[in-house]
Amino acid sequence: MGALMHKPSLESQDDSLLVQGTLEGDPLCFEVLVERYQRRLFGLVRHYTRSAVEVEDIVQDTFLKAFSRLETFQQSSAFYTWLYRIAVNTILDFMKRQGRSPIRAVEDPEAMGGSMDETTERKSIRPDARLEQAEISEITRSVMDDLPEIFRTVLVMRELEQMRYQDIADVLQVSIGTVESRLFRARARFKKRLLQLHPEFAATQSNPSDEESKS
Amino acid sequence: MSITSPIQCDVVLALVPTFVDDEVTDSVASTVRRHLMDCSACRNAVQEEQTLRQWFVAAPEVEVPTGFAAHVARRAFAGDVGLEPAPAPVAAAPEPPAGRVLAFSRALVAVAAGGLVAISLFLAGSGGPEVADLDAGKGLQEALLELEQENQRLELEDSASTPEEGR
Ligand SMILES: [Zn+2]
Repeated sequence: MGALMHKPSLESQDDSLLVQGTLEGDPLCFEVLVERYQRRLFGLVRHYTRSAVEVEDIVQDTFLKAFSRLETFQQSSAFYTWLYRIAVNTILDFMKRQGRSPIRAVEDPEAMGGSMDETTERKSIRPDARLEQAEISEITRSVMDDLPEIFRTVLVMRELEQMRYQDIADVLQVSIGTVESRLFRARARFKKRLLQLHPEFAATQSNPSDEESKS
Repeated sequence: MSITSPIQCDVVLALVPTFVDDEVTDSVASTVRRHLMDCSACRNAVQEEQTLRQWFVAAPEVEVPTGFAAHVARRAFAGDVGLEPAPAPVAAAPEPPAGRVLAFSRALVAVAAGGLVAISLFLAGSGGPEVADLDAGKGLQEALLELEQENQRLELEDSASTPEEGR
Protein backbone atom coordinates (compact mmCIF):
# COMPACT_ATOMS: atom_id res chain seq x y z
CA MET A 1 0.00 0.00 0.00
CA GLY A 2 1.12 3.54 0.58
CA ALA A 3 3.16 4.30 -2.50
CA LEU A 4 0.07 4.65 -4.60
CA MET A 5 -2.02 6.46 -2.04
CA HIS A 6 -2.50 10.15 -1.48
CA LYS A 7 -2.19 11.80 1.86
CA PRO A 8 -5.90 12.42 2.52
CA SER A 9 -6.69 8.73 2.03
CA LEU A 10 -3.79 7.77 4.28
CA GLU A 11 -5.12 9.93 7.05
CA SER A 12 -8.07 7.62 7.53
CA GLN A 13 -5.90 4.49 7.72
CA ASP A 14 -5.25 2.46 10.86
CA ASP A 15 -1.89 2.77 12.57
CA SER A 16 -1.02 -0.78 11.58
CA LEU A 17 -1.46 -0.04 7.88
CA LEU A 18 0.62 3.11 8.18
CA VAL A 19 3.34 1.17 10.01
CA GLN A 20 3.25 -1.39 7.23
CA GLY A 21 3.44 1.34 4.59
CA THR A 22 6.38 2.96 6.36
CA LEU A 23 8.22 -0.34 6.51
CA GLU A 24 7.58 -0.72 2.79
CA GLY A 25 9.33 2.60 2.26
CA ASP A 26 6.58 5.18 1.94
CA PRO A 27 7.64 8.41 3.70
CA LEU A 28 4.10 9.74 3.50
CA CYS A 29 2.84 6.90 5.69
CA PHE A 30 5.34 7.83 8.36
CA GLU A 31 4.52 11.51 8.02
CA VAL A 32 0.86 10.75 8.67
CA LEU A 33 1.79 8.68 11.74
CA VAL A 34 3.89 11.56 13.06
CA GLU A 35 1.06 13.99 12.42
CA ARG A 36 -1.34 11.73 14.25
CA TYR A 37 0.70 11.61 17.46
CA GLN A 38 2.89 14.72 17.42
CA ARG A 39 0.41 16.77 19.42
CA ARG A 40 0.19 14.22 22.21
CA LEU A 41 3.95 13.82 22.38
CA PHE A 42 4.55 17.57 22.49
CA GLY A 43 1.95 17.65 25.25
CA LEU A 44 3.74 14.97 27.24
CA VAL A 45 7.27 16.25 26.79
CA ARG A 46 6.59 19.88 27.63
CA HIS A 47 5.98 18.89 31.24
CA TYR A 48 9.66 18.05 31.57
CA THR A 49 11.40 21.09 30.16
CA ARG A 50 10.51 24.72 29.78
CA SER A 51 12.54 25.06 26.60
CA ALA A 52 10.47 24.84 23.41
CA VAL A 53 13.60 23.89 21.49
CA GLU A 54 14.28 20.99 23.83
CA VAL A 55 10.68 19.83 23.63
CA GLU A 56 10.93 19.75 19.85
CA ASP A 57 14.28 17.93 19.99
CA ILE A 58 12.94 15.26 22.32
CA VAL A 59 9.78 14.67 20.28
CA GLN A 60 11.80 14.52 17.07
CA ASP A 61 14.25 12.11 18.65
CA THR A 62 11.33 9.96 19.79
CA PHE A 63 9.96 9.67 16.27
CA LEU A 64 13.40 9.01 14.77
CA LYS A 65 14.00 6.23 17.28
CA ALA A 66 10.56 4.82 16.61
CA PHE A 67 11.27 4.81 12.89
CA SER A 68 14.63 3.12 13.25
CA ARG A 69 13.08 0.39 15.41
CA LEU A 70 9.80 0.05 13.61
CA GLU A 71 10.60 -3.51 12.63
CA THR A 72 10.65 -4.50 16.29
CA PHE A 73 7.17 -3.09 16.86
CA GLN A 74 4.74 -5.91 17.61
CA GLN A 75 1.43 -5.30 15.94
CA SER A 76 -0.22 -7.07 18.88
CA SER A 77 0.35 -4.00 21.02
CA ALA A 78 -0.92 -0.50 20.38
CA PHE A 79 1.37 1.73 18.35
CA TYR A 80 0.49 4.63 20.61
CA THR A 81 1.64 2.76 23.74
CA TRP A 82 4.83 1.66 22.05
CA LEU A 83 5.55 5.20 20.88
CA TYR A 84 4.88 6.61 24.36
CA ARG A 85 7.28 4.09 25.83
CA ILE A 86 9.99 5.33 23.49
CA ALA A 87 9.09 8.91 24.41
CA VAL A 88 9.41 8.20 28.14
CA ASN A 89 12.73 6.51 27.49
CA THR A 90 13.91 9.46 25.43
CA ILE A 91 12.86 11.87 28.17
CA LEU A 92 14.73 9.86 30.82
CA ASP A 93 17.73 9.79 28.54
CA PHE A 94 17.51 13.52 28.13
CA MET A 95 17.35 13.93 31.90
CA LYS A 96 20.51 11.88 32.26
CA ARG A 97 22.29 14.02 29.71
CA GLN A 98 21.35 17.00 31.84
CA GLY A 99 22.92 15.27 34.79
CA ARG A 100 19.57 14.39 36.27
CA SER A 101 18.93 10.87 37.35
CA PRO A 102 15.54 9.52 36.32
CA ILE A 103 14.86 8.72 39.92
CA ARG A 104 16.73 11.63 41.36
CA ALA A 105 15.48 12.67 44.74
CA VAL A 106 16.28 16.15 45.85
CA GLU A 107 14.33 15.80 49.01
CA ASP A 108 15.86 15.14 52.34
CA PRO A 109 16.56 11.37 52.27
CA GLU A 110 15.10 11.17 55.76
CA ALA A 111 11.80 12.26 54.30
CA MET A 112 11.84 9.55 51.63
CA GLY A 113 10.25 6.92 53.83
CA GLY A 114 6.91 7.95 55.27
CA SER A 115 5.19 9.34 52.24
CA MET A 116 2.25 10.83 54.10
CA ASP A 117 2.81 11.61 57.72
CA GLU A 118 0.05 12.60 60.07
CA THR A 119 0.62 16.33 59.75
CA THR A 120 0.68 16.22 55.97
CA GLU A 121 -2.38 14.06 55.85
CA ARG A 122 -4.40 16.27 58.10
CA LYS A 123 -3.56 19.42 56.21
CA SER A 124 -5.46 20.49 53.20
CA ILE A 125 -3.86 22.57 50.52
CA ARG A 126 -5.86 24.24 47.80
CA PRO A 127 -5.03 26.92 45.27
CA ASP A 128 -6.02 30.37 46.44
CA ALA A 129 -9.10 31.60 44.57
CA ARG A 130 -7.19 34.72 43.51
CA LEU A 131 -4.54 32.72 41.69
CA GLU A 132 -4.62 32.74 37.91
CA GLN A 133 -4.51 29.37 36.16
CA ALA A 134 -1.04 30.18 34.89
CA GLU A 135 0.13 30.89 38.43
CA ILE A 136 -1.27 27.59 39.67
CA SER A 137 0.46 25.82 36.81
CA GLU A 138 3.74 27.47 37.68
CA ILE A 139 3.53 26.43 41.32
CA THR A 140 2.61 22.89 40.33
CA ARG A 141 5.46 22.85 37.86
CA SER A 142 8.00 23.91 40.46
CA VAL A 143 6.81 21.20 42.83
CA MET A 144 6.96 18.58 40.07
CA ASP A 145 10.50 19.67 39.21
CA ASP A 146 11.51 18.59 42.70
CA LEU A 147 9.93 15.14 42.56
CA PRO A 148 11.85 12.01 41.64
CA GLU A 149 11.13 11.28 37.97
CA ILE A 150 9.39 8.04 38.84
CA PHE A 151 6.70 10.10 40.53
CA ARG A 152 6.72 13.00 38.14
CA THR A 153 6.09 10.72 35.16
CA VAL A 154 3.07 9.03 36.67
CA LEU A 155 1.60 12.40 37.72
CA VAL A 156 2.22 13.90 34.30
CA MET A 157 0.51 10.98 32.60
CA ARG A 158 -2.46 10.88 34.91
CA GLU A 159 -3.06 14.44 36.03
CA LEU A 160 -1.82 16.45 33.12
CA GLU A 161 -2.33 14.11 30.18
CA GLN A 162 -5.42 12.39 31.62
CA MET A 163 -4.23 8.93 30.67
CA ARG A 164 -6.15 5.91 31.93
CA TYR A 165 -4.46 3.58 34.41
CA GLN A 166 -4.38 0.83 31.80
CA ASP A 167 -2.51 3.02 29.29
CA ILE A 168 -0.03 4.15 31.93
CA ALA A 169 0.52 0.52 32.92
CA ASP A 170 1.08 -0.46 29.29
CA VAL A 171 3.55 2.34 28.68
CA LEU A 172 5.52 1.73 31.87
CA GLN A 173 5.10 -2.03 31.57
CA VAL A 174 3.92 -2.42 35.11
CA SER A 175 0.68 -3.74 36.58
CA ILE A 176 -2.34 -1.53 37.20
CA GLY A 177 -1.77 -2.14 40.90
CA THR A 178 1.70 -0.66 40.60
CA VAL A 179 0.28 2.35 38.76
CA GLU A 180 -2.20 2.85 41.59
CA SER A 181 0.34 2.57 44.37
CA ARG A 182 2.86 4.72 42.54
CA LEU A 183 0.24 7.38 41.92
CA PHE A 184 -0.75 7.25 45.54
CA ARG A 185 2.80 7.83 46.67
CA ALA A 186 3.39 10.44 44.00
CA ARG A 187 0.42 12.46 45.17
CA ALA A 188 1.50 12.18 48.78
CA ARG A 189 4.96 13.35 47.82
CA PHE A 190 3.53 16.14 45.72
CA LYS A 191 1.37 17.34 48.60
CA LYS A 192 4.20 17.17 51.06
CA ARG A 193 6.53 19.17 48.83
CA LEU A 194 3.77 21.65 48.06
CA LEU A 195 3.22 22.19 51.77
CA GLN A 196 6.93 22.75 52.23
CA LEU A 197 7.22 25.22 49.38
CA HIS A 198 3.91 26.99 49.88
CA PRO A 199 2.72 26.74 53.46
CA GLU A 200 0.62 29.84 52.81
CA PHE A 201 -1.97 27.71 51.00
CA ALA A 202 -2.29 25.17 53.79
CA ALA A 203 -5.48 24.82 55.77
CA THR A 204 -6.67 22.39 58.36
CA GLN A 205 -9.16 19.97 56.92
CA SER A 206 -12.74 20.59 57.93
CA ASN A 207 -13.69 18.60 60.96
CA PRO A 208 -16.03 15.75 59.99
CA SER A 209 -18.05 16.01 63.19
CA ASP A 210 -18.89 19.68 62.55
CA GLU A 211 -20.30 18.86 59.20
CA GLU A 212 -22.10 15.76 60.35
CA SER A 213 -24.17 17.65 62.89
CA LYS A 214 -25.90 19.48 60.03
CA SER A 215 -26.96 16.43 58.03
CA MET B 1 -20.63 4.54 59.99
CA SER B 2 -24.30 3.80 59.72
CA ILE B 3 -26.02 0.46 59.48
CA THR B 4 -27.27 1.27 55.98
CA SER B 5 -23.69 1.18 54.71
CA PRO B 6 -22.84 -2.34 53.68
CA ILE B 7 -19.23 -1.37 53.11
CA GLN B 8 -16.68 -0.36 55.70
CA CYS B 9 -14.93 2.97 55.93
CA ASP B 10 -11.46 1.48 55.62
CA VAL B 11 -12.48 -0.22 52.39
CA VAL B 12 -13.94 3.01 51.04
CA LEU B 13 -10.93 5.06 52.10
CA ALA B 14 -8.62 2.69 50.27
CA LEU B 15 -10.79 3.13 47.16
CA VAL B 16 -10.97 6.92 47.31
CA PRO B 17 -8.11 7.77 44.92
CA THR B 18 -9.25 5.31 42.26
CA PHE B 19 -12.86 6.35 42.79
CA VAL B 20 -11.97 10.01 42.23
CA ASP B 21 -9.91 8.99 39.21
CA ASP B 22 -13.02 7.27 37.85
CA GLU B 23 -11.10 4.03 37.61
CA VAL B 24 -13.41 1.77 39.60
CA THR B 25 -16.15 -0.34 38.05
CA ASP B 26 -19.67 1.07 37.93
CA SER B 27 -20.88 -1.21 40.67
CA VAL B 28 -18.01 -0.27 42.97
CA ALA B 29 -18.62 3.39 42.20
CA SER B 30 -22.28 3.16 43.13
CA THR B 31 -21.47 1.26 46.32
CA VAL B 32 -18.98 3.96 47.26
CA ARG B 33 -21.48 6.69 46.42
CA ARG B 34 -24.11 5.06 48.61
CA HIS B 35 -21.63 4.93 51.46
CA LEU B 36 -20.67 8.57 50.96
CA MET B 37 -24.26 9.67 51.43
CA ASP B 38 -24.12 8.39 54.99
CA CYS B 39 -20.53 8.97 55.92
CA SER B 40 -19.07 12.43 56.24
CA ALA B 41 -15.59 11.16 57.13
CA CYS B 42 -15.29 9.38 53.79
CA ARG B 43 -16.90 12.35 52.05
CA ASN B 44 -14.14 14.51 53.47
CA ALA B 45 -11.54 12.12 52.17
CA VAL B 46 -13.06 12.37 48.70
CA GLN B 47 -13.15 16.13 48.95
CA GLU B 48 -9.52 16.24 50.04
CA GLU B 49 -8.57 14.02 47.13
CA GLN B 50 -10.38 16.39 44.77
CA THR B 51 -8.75 19.41 46.37
CA LEU B 52 -5.29 18.15 45.56
CA ARG B 53 -6.31 17.68 41.93
CA GLN B 54 -7.13 21.38 41.69
CA TRP B 55 -3.39 21.96 41.41
CA PHE B 56 -3.33 20.22 38.08
CA VAL B 57 -4.88 22.57 35.60
CA ALA B 58 -5.26 21.89 31.93
CA ALA B 59 -2.25 23.13 30.03
CA PRO B 60 -2.79 25.49 27.10
CA GLU B 61 -3.09 24.05 23.60
CA VAL B 62 0.08 22.47 22.35
CA GLU B 63 1.77 24.28 19.51
CA VAL B 64 3.43 21.99 17.04
CA PRO B 65 5.80 23.78 14.66
CA THR B 66 4.50 23.93 11.10
CA GLY B 67 5.87 21.22 8.88
CA PHE B 68 7.19 19.21 11.82
CA ALA B 69 5.87 15.85 10.59
CA ALA B 70 7.21 16.29 7.07
CA HIS B 71 10.56 17.38 8.45
CA VAL B 72 10.80 14.37 10.77
CA ALA B 73 9.74 11.96 8.03
CA ARG B 74 12.42 13.37 5.72
CA ARG B 75 15.10 12.99 8.36
CA ALA B 76 13.97 9.48 9.22
CA PHE B 77 14.11 8.33 5.62
CA ALA B 78 17.49 10.03 5.26
CA GLY B 79 18.81 7.60 7.84
CA ASP B 80 18.80 9.81 10.94
CA VAL B 81 18.27 7.48 13.89
CA GLY B 82 18.25 10.15 16.56
CA LEU B 83 20.60 10.74 19.43
CA GLU B 84 22.74 7.98 20.88
CA PRO B 85 21.50 6.86 24.27
CA ALA B 86 23.05 8.68 27.22
CA PRO B 87 25.89 6.89 28.97
CA ALA B 88 24.67 3.67 30.49
CA PRO B 89 23.52 3.87 34.09
CA VAL B 90 25.30 2.19 36.95
CA ALA B 91 23.42 -1.06 36.52
CA ALA B 92 25.07 -1.68 33.17
CA ALA B 93 28.43 -0.16 34.05
CA PRO B 94 29.67 -1.51 37.36
CA GLU B 95 32.07 1.40 37.78
CA PRO B 96 30.19 4.70 37.84
CA PRO B 97 32.09 7.51 36.17
CA ALA B 98 33.69 9.83 38.68
CA GLY B 99 31.68 12.94 39.35
CA ARG B 100 28.43 11.33 38.32
CA VAL B 101 27.85 9.30 41.40
CA LEU B 102 24.13 9.19 41.85
CA ALA B 103 22.46 9.19 45.19
CA PHE B 104 21.18 5.69 44.77
CA SER B 105 24.20 4.21 43.03
CA ARG B 106 25.56 2.31 45.98
CA ALA B 107 22.27 0.64 46.62
CA LEU B 108 21.85 -0.03 42.93
CA VAL B 109 25.28 -1.61 42.61
CA ALA B 110 24.55 -3.75 45.59
CA VAL B 111 21.38 -5.17 44.13
CA ALA B 112 22.31 -4.97 40.46
CA ALA B 113 23.72 -8.46 40.18
CA GLY B 114 20.73 -10.22 41.66
CA GLY B 115 18.16 -7.68 40.58
CA LEU B 116 19.05 -7.76 36.91
CA VAL B 117 18.49 -11.47 36.68
CA ALA B 118 15.37 -11.44 38.80
CA ILE B 119 13.78 -8.57 36.95
CA SER B 120 14.58 -9.81 33.49
CA LEU B 121 13.12 -13.16 34.49
CA PHE B 122 10.11 -11.33 35.80
CA LEU B 123 9.75 -9.34 32.60
CA ALA B 124 10.22 -12.42 30.48
CA GLY B 125 7.66 -14.32 32.51
CA SER B 126 5.00 -11.66 32.66
CA GLY B 127 5.39 -9.70 29.48
CA GLY B 128 4.19 -12.20 26.92
CA PRO B 129 4.31 -10.72 23.45
CA GLU B 130 5.14 -7.31 24.93
CA VAL B 131 8.64 -8.46 25.79
CA ALA B 132 9.84 -8.13 22.23
CA ASP B 133 8.81 -4.49 22.40
CA LEU B 134 11.51 -3.88 24.93
CA ASP B 135 13.88 -3.82 22.00
CA ALA B 136 12.13 -0.59 21.13
CA GLY B 137 14.23 1.32 23.58
CA LYS B 138 17.88 0.61 24.03
CA GLY B 139 18.31 1.83 27.52
CA LEU B 140 14.66 1.52 28.33
CA GLN B 141 15.27 -1.78 30.06
CA GLU B 142 17.91 -0.08 32.14
CA ALA B 143 15.66 2.82 32.94
CA LEU B 144 12.80 0.50 33.81
CA LEU B 145 15.14 -1.51 35.93
CA GLU B 146 16.18 1.58 37.83
CA LEU B 147 12.62 2.69 38.19
CA GLU B 148 11.43 -0.66 39.40
CA GLN B 149 14.25 -1.01 41.86
CA GLU B 150 13.59 2.43 43.21
CA ASN B 151 9.94 1.58 43.34
CA GLN B 152 10.57 -1.63 45.23
CA ARG B 153 12.84 0.22 47.60
CA LEU B 154 10.20 2.85 48.24
CA GLU B 155 7.55 0.22 48.65
CA LEU B 156 9.69 -1.48 51.26
CA GLU B 157 10.24 1.82 53.02
CA ASP B 158 6.61 2.67 52.84
CA SER B 159 5.49 -0.64 54.21
CA ALA B 160 8.05 -0.30 56.98
CA SER B 161 6.80 3.10 58.02
CA THR B 162 3.33 3.93 56.76
CA PRO B 163 1.17 1.13 55.47
CA GLU B 164 -0.53 2.05 52.19
CA GLU B 165 -3.99 1.77 53.65
CA GLY B 166 -3.05 3.37 56.90
CA ARG B 167 -4.58 6.69 56.06
ZN1 LIG C 1 -16.99 5.97 55.69
